[in-house]
Formats: sequence, structure tokens, C-alpha cells
Amino acid sequence: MGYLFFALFFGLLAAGMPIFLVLGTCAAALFFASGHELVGVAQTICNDMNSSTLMALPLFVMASAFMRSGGIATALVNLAGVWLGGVRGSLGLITVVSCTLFAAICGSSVATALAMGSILVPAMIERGYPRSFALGVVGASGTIGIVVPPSLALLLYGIVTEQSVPRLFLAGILPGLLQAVVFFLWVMYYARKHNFPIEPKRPVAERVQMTIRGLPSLIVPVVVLVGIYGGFVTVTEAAALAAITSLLVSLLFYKGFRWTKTLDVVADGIRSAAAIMLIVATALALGHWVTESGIPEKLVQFTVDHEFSRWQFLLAINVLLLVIGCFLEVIATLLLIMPLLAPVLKPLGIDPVHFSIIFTHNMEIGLIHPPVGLNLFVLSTIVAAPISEVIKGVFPFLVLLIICLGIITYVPELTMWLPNYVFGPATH
Amino acid sequence: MLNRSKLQSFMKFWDSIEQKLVGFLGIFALAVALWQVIGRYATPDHAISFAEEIIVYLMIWAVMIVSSQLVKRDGHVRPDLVLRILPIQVARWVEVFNCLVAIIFCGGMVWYGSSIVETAIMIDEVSSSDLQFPMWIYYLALPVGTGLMTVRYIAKLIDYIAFYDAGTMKPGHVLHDNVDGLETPKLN
Amino acid sequence: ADEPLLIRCSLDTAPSHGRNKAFQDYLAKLEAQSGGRIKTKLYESGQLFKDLEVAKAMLQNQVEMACPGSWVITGIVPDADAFQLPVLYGRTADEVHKIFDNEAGKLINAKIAEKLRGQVLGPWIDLGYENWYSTKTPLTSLDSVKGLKVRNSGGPGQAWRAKFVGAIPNTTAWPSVPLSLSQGVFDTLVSTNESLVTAQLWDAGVKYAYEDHQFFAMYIPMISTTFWSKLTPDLQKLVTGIWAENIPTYRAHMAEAQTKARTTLEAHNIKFVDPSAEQLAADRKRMMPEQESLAKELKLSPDVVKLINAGFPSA
Ligand code: NA
Ligand code: NA
Repeated sequence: MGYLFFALFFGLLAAGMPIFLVLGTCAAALFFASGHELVGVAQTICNDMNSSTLMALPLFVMASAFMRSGGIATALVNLAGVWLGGVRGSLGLITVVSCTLFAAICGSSVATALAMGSILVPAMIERGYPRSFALGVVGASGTIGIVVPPSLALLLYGIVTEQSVPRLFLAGILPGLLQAVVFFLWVMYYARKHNFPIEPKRPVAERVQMTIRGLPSLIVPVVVLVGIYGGFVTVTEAAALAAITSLLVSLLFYKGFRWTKTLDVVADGIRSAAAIMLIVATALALGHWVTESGIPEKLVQFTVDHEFSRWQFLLAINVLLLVIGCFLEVIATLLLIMPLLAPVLKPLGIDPVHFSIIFTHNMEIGLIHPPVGLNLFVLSTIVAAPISEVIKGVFPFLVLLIICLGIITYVPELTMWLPNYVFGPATH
Repeated sequence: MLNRSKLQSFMKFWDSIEQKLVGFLGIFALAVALWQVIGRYATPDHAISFAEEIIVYLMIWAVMIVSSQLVKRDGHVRPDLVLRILPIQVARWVEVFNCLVAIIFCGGMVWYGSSIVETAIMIDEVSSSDLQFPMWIYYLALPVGTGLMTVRYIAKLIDYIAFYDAGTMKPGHVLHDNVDGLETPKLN
Repeated sequence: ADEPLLIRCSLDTAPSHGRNKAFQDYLAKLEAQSGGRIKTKLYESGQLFKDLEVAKAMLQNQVEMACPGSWVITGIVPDADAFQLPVLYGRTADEVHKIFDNEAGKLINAKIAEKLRGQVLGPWIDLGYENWYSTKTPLTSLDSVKGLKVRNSGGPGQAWRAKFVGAIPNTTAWPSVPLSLSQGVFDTLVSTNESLVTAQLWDAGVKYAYEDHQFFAMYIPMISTTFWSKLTPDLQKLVTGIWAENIPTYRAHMAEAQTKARTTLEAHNIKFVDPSAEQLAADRKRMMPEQESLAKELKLSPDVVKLINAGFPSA
């Protein structure tokens, strides 16, 4: 039955079928093959969707949609720009900082690349930056946000693998900062070497005034982090507050859209969320069957029989993720893979919290890995540039990312120190 | 003979109803969340305990209704790499196959979803919180949502078979989180 | 020979839990004594279904046997919430057994047969006394719970009690409790000593316990009627016979586990407060005036309420 499963799974994927259909069809086929009543698939979908933790997901997606259409994204870029004037290559540095900030709410690197790219890439080209560099820095910086909290990927990872979401969020902070610092230094070095333009330094009064104007754009991450770690609200409530504040800040402060458009903006946000929610629902239904089928045990047995070490296992995962990164986003991949992988982690002695960061980081590399990666496609469509040019720009960042991945993988303290410091060591 | 332009104007009307309904459900969910958080700190004696439950019901209904829009816009996340490489006429028939599977799956969900609704009504199932919400209302979102999707997939299938236009119907990834009708903001 | 009939049984507690041990033993005995005519498969730790979903799953023929707690089926069989009646507050196991092993229990079994199409195997199996446990707020009386977010296992009856003492009720299924506790969904929970030990909730920050035996929790063992009707009379007799024969042992094991669990919890620095019998009686008396309206709100059938009240003539 295992072979039937894999044949069906990859066959339907190759046919370009929507992921929720692939997962749902596999779940139904295998439910049926193992002698269950098919109504169980529908019931499982209903049961699994009936989760308040899961609702944090559409709410965070809504928040990010509001931010993008409401002018908050632009405000973030401007805020970062105020203080980086006078530094060589400042637009590149602004990109690193504002992508990190934006992704700190958005949680999707493709969405970050799209939102930030459409603002920053034309701006950089206009100021005489090489197009490939502009595309590369945006494409790579977007990947920081997936590990900096809040992160949709980590939220879903927590739901699928039953890990504490606040713990995962904390685990992502230091690795995310490491990556941001490494990129920042690289851009400074590269800008100096290639003599990139300097943005004018603004007078202090103007800087203060623009900072004040930019501050409301930071309300959202503050509300989320203080809310969760102050113990005031649950993750789901924090997500709702993020959506509410970004909606209000957009409507009342930045006025990115008129209030008459509110219903449409909300509906658009939910539509973005729905694309993920359907995959979540079917992924959980499939995961349900997978547990019962005994496939995880067989997978563990396989790795034990072949005496796979931990690093060989991680390498195999890495290759798998690079392949999937050609055509899928982090969240879709996570939902595709984690139900199969989650039961295998503990027997192999891999900490699920540490693995969450390795996994998301790996995924990001897959997204910008040549010759094909989804982020590369997205970037090439922003300014109608050939993929090869995007690859050229992304390449140095790719090398930096792989170095970061090595550090994250072999220095578990970088990931584990903060959550263990705040919550105490996990006992499982 | 089917009048396509009349049908299209009806669909446009239908789209806008879906859009407004979903927007309303979403706003309502946000309001309930705000009410819960404020209520817990402002008036703990009267704080509601079932806000998250209501948010789930509202959001799931909104998500299920709006999913049919994703079918129409080809917004469901899918790996279309192979489709892009295939010759256009082959890709067309692969898409026909995809539509057929989708119709079978969504149709099945309508069928089994309805049976879940029926059972819930038969046994008077209510949620086990103190809200005692009638569960059939929640379950109904599944057959309704998949039903709407089935209709869209049938329309798509007809398009691929009878009204195929190689120019506009090329498969390609549509970014599902694009927001309509809003310009790209400018830097200052 | 005919294919053996397969019984799939789903529990959402871990293999070390007393209920799981009882079913491991029961299913093994049933398989052995059926002479190969019955095969059994036990799914544990909620890997197949959470208890909250299992009764419905049985109705849909996804499993043949289940043993949900009374509190998870109140949405379908309201009478199962009768445990929350004020008259049962702070009672002993013997007092509660006397009620539900007899007429009141039979009435509820009949409702289960009608609504869930489930045949109850026989006497229900104990979980044990349900108490309050908190992370930050020391618990010394019912008043200490005021204003806290209190998790319960389900059913509007438990939510009523939380509201009665001025707390904010929350329903969370057991498998999600450690996670939700660490995420601050609630800071207090209603549960049993043994349940806390199996989930090692001291790691999730539980520090205080108020052992008021607010209700005595029981699981209801049942087999799907569809499956039951496929069994020959002698197999049916075997199914209920083995259960009846072993239930005293199973109950004794559960009680033992609860006593031992308290010692374990205390060893992990959880502070226990035990209210006196007078205190319990006084608190019960304080709740009694609401019993009639509560019974209505919980949609309990008047017969069940009458039978339970009859067991405590002095209340
Ligand atoms: Na993030
Ligand atoms: Na790739």
C-alpha cells in the first residue's frame, strides 16, 4: 500500500493538481483501501478544522493582507530609510531591514518578496543599482521573515507536530537575527566594493518627524509579541489583534484604502488564507490516515535498517526540500511533508523545536535555489527580468544562507537557548 | 443554446455577493475576538468564554465560501511546473483530467458532508462547551463550500472542453495573495 | 472458517493510563477466549480519534468500540452531564457508583443506545475524582478560583460550575491540554491526579491543587450496535461477561493509580489543599438552589434527576 500511496501522491502532484486535491484524493483513496467508511474523510476534515489554534493562521494572513494594501508596508520601508541615509548602498540595507520587519508579521517569504519587491526593486533600479543585485537582495531578505516571529510556517509546524507555538517563535529569533546581520554586512561590503549610490542624509528634525509617522507601522509586531509573551492573550487572540490593529492603522493612519473598501480587503485577506486552510484541512486528514497506516514506523525501520545517521537523514531531507522548493511555497511543502516526517523525528533523536528552524531554513534555500525555485519566478515577474539574472543576483546570498544553515544545524544552542531560557527546558 | 453573456453577468453578481458575505463574516469574527480580549480585562464577570468557538465557525464558513473564488481564479496552490513544460494541447487535457478529479472529490465531499449534517441533526449534536452550538450549522459549511467549488470546476471543465483558448488559458501560477484593485504604493 | 470479526477500539489516553491498561487486558482476554472468532486492535494516545470525536466515529462505523468519558458525549446525550449536579458535589466513589451502577445508569445507557447506537458493555469504568489545579494562583477554597481561566473536559455542566465560582470556563480536549496550558489558553484546569501525572503537568507549570472531588469522573465503555448485532449470542455473552468479571479489578487499579498519583504530584512540589467535610457540605449547600435551573439548562431528563436526588434523601 505504501507504493500505491507514493505513486498516487507524486503522480497527482506532477499533473499540476491543486495541493488540497492531491492530499484529499490520497487521503480518500487510502482511507477506502484500508477498509474505512469514506464519510470519515469528511468528518476528519470537519473535526480538524474545528480548532481555535488553527484560526490564528487565517487571522495572520488577513493581517498581512491589510498591511500590504493599507500602506503599512511602505511606511516600514520609509521608516528604515530615515536612519540609513548617508550610508553607501543604503537602499540595499533598507531592503534587508524592512524585509525582516515586514516578514515579521507576514510569515510568507514569497508574499514578502512580492510586497517589498514591488516597492523596492523599481526604487533601486531608478537609483542606478544593478538589476540583478536589486532582485537578489529582495529575494534573499524575504527568507528571514519565515523564522522571525510571528511566522505562519512555524505556527503550522506547531500545529502539525504538536509543539508549543510560543516556544517555536522564540526559537526562530536568534537564527533570524544571525541571517539578518550576515546579509546586512554583506550588502555593506558589496556596496562599498561596487561604489553604490548614497542616499541623502536628512536633517534631524525631518528624521524625527518621519520616525513618528512611521511608528504606527510597528504597532503590529509589538502587539503580537507583547501580547503572547506577556501572557495577556493566546496565539489566536494575538493573531486577531494583529489583524485588527493593521486594519485600523491602515484605515485611520496611512489611509491605504478607503473605509468603503474594507469588506473587499477583508474578503481578499480571507481568500489568501483559504488557499492555505484547505491544504491544512486535507493535510491533517491525510496525516490521520498516515498514522494509522504504519508508514512512519516503516520509515523509521528503513532508516534504522540502513543505519542512517542523523546527519545523513537531515541531508536526505535537505535534498527532498530542494526538489520540492522548485514548485512549492514553504507552507504548502510543510503541510505536504511534515505529517509524514513528524512521527519519525523523536525515534531518530532529533529535537522537534531545533528541527523546525532547520526545516524552514532548508525550505527557504529551496525557494531561491537555481535552476528553479518559486521565489525566483516571483521576482522575475516583478520587473519582467529573465530568471538567469535573478539567479545571478541571488547567488551570493544563497552561499551565505547555506553557511547560516550549517551554523543553525550544528550549533543547536543558537536555536534552543532562548526558548529554554524563557520556558525552561522542554521535557518530552 | 446557453446565453453566455447573461450567464456571465449573473456570475459577476454572484461573485460580488460571495465577496461581501465573506468580508462581513471576517469583520464579525474580528469583532468577536476584540470583544473577548477587552471583555476579559474590562468586565471579567461578564467575559464570554466561547468567543474562540464562534470565531472558528465564522472563519470556516468564510473560508469555505471564498474557496470557490480560488477555483475561478486558479488561485489554489499547485505545482504547475510540468504543465508549463508540456505542449499546450497536452496540458489542456491534463487540465481536463484535473477538473474531473476535482469534481469527483468535491462532489464526494458534498455527499458525505451532507450525511454528516444529517447525522448531526438526527442526534441533536451540540458543541460540548457551554455555548451548546448546534453542530450541523458548522458542518454545513463543508457541503456548501465544496458544492460551490463543484459548480466552478464544472464551469471550468466546460471551458476547457468547449471554449478552449490557448492564448488566455495557459496554466500558470497565480499568486494567491494578490489583492485586487489596489495600486502598488510609492516610496516617499 | 469465517473471517474473524475485527474490533477497532480507540482511546485518546497514553498506554500507561489506567483506562488503556484495562482495555489492553480486556481486549486480549476477549480475543483469547473467542477462539479466534474475534480479533481486536487498540489505537491509543488519540492516534486515531480524540475522545471528543470517537462517539461520532463509532456511529459512522469508523471504530467498533470506544470508551469516551461521560463529559465528551454530553453534546449528544445531555443526561451524561448529570455528574455535575450540585447534589453530587464532593461525594465519594461508593456513593456515585451506587447511583450510576443502578437505575440512573441504565436510563443513560438506554439513551446512548438510542442516540449513539452504542451498546454499553456493563458497569462504567472510573477515572477518579476531579479537582482544581492551577499554575500561578494558590488554591485554598472555591473563592481562589475567581477570575481564573479554567479548563474543563467538556459539557455545559462543568462550565456552569466555573461560572458559579466566578471563573471563566474553557473546554479543551485532553490531548491538547499541555500545549494549551503552555500557550496561556487557561491557567487553571479541572482534572484528576492521575491525568496530571501521565501528562507531567508540573513541567507545564502546575503548582497548586484544591482536592474538592467536585465530581467523580467515569468513562462509558460501548460497542457499536451494528457490530453487536453481527455477534452470535454466545459471543455477545462473552463480550459483556468478560467486562463484568473484570470491572472490579479495573476500578481498583484506577483508584490505586489516583492515590499513587497524588504522592507523585506532591513529590513534584505541587501543594495540595483538602477541604473538610463541613466545607464541602457548605459549598454543596451553596450550589443546591441552582440545581433545578441547571438541570433544565443541561437538558437533563427529569427521571434521571429524580433518581439521583433519591440517592441522597438528606440533601
Ligand atoms: Na515572520
Ligand atoms: Na529549488
